[in-house]
Amino acid sequence: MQFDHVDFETDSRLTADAFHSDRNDTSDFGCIINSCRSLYSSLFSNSRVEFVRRQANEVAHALARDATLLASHTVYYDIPNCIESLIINEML
Amino acid sequence: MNLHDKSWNEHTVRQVFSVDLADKILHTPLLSPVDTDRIVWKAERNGRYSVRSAYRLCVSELVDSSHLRRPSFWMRIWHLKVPQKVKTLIWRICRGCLPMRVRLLDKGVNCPPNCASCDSEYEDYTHVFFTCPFAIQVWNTTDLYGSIQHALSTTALGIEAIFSLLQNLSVELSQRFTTAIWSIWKHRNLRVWDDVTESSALVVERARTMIVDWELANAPNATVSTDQILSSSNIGDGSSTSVPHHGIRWQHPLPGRYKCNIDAAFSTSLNRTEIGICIRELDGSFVLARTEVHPCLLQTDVGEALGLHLALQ
Repeated sequence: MQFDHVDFETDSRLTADAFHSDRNDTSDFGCIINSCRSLYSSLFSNSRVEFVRRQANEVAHALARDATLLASHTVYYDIPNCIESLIINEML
Repeated sequence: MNLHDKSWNEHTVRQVFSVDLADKILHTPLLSPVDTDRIVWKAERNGRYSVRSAYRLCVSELVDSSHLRRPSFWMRIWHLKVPQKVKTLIWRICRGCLPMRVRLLDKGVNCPPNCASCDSEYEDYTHVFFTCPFAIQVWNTTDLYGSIQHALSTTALGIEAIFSLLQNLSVELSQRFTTAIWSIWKHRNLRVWDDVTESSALVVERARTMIVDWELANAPNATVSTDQILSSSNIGDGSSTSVPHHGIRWQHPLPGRYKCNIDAAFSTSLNRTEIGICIRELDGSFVLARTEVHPCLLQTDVGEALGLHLALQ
């Protein structure tokens, strides 16, 4: 399966920089980044991984915050309450 | 380890190891993207051995530096809105490493022990900056005498009085206070080294000019940085509905593209790491969202990297 034209945005400068560098790193962080790179190159084309400021990443932040109350992972096909107003605000 | 779901087999771990060791093992996160066992050097971020990090580790473990640590509000000094040289001077005073005559004599330097300004008392921190008649004149002119008297009467040392003042004075008054301290020390040095005697009015005026110059030089930058602090504190408060009132905000993806935002949150109290992912399309409308919870508190960078990993999956 291949996906096209996706812009990934994280507010972690360290993660975005590590993803784009080719430094080798034996820590857990390095392993995860390596794994990210191989997933990215096998599944995505014409896509990007970018750093954005925290202020531009509020929806993801609110989702992560809200997950504190949940037991384990959840997939939402409809807008969850916690980010509804944020999404509408950012549509403008 | 349970291989089918990559988790610790708690029962076996507890049977084999002592309580504290078992706790340590069970608290070690097992992350799905990490699939090979490796020896990792923990003192370096990238996991590889370096002499530099080993040296630091030795120094921090073997040499006791606790007598050098002074718990106080050091950040208040660095957050002051004054020139860097003033901050450095205040830090040196609080650290006790300004070449006062009392200290110089301690080190065997041959110099008179008395204050260069009034010649009636020993030159130490409290005297030069607070109780010398010259200093009192300065504090009277700057309207800070009352606050300083109060701070001195409630603390045992001159240094503690400085911290207490920095904590209680407004931004504007701490500017006035610290630049005046700098100016008093300048006055003392001019007197000792160049034989110049300044009036207290001149000392106050120099401090005032210094603030004006600093504000002029920092005017545009200063407004930007307070703006950023304001909006980021909004987010921290969880008042997520507020739209930041300056330039930075979410940008719509270009036509034909999707945008996927990723973030991780760390909850110390619950000992958990949470990841949030949201995909939106051109007009900013919602496509899909996902959250995941890890039952352990991960390092910040590891959590954020896992977020990206989950999003790519």
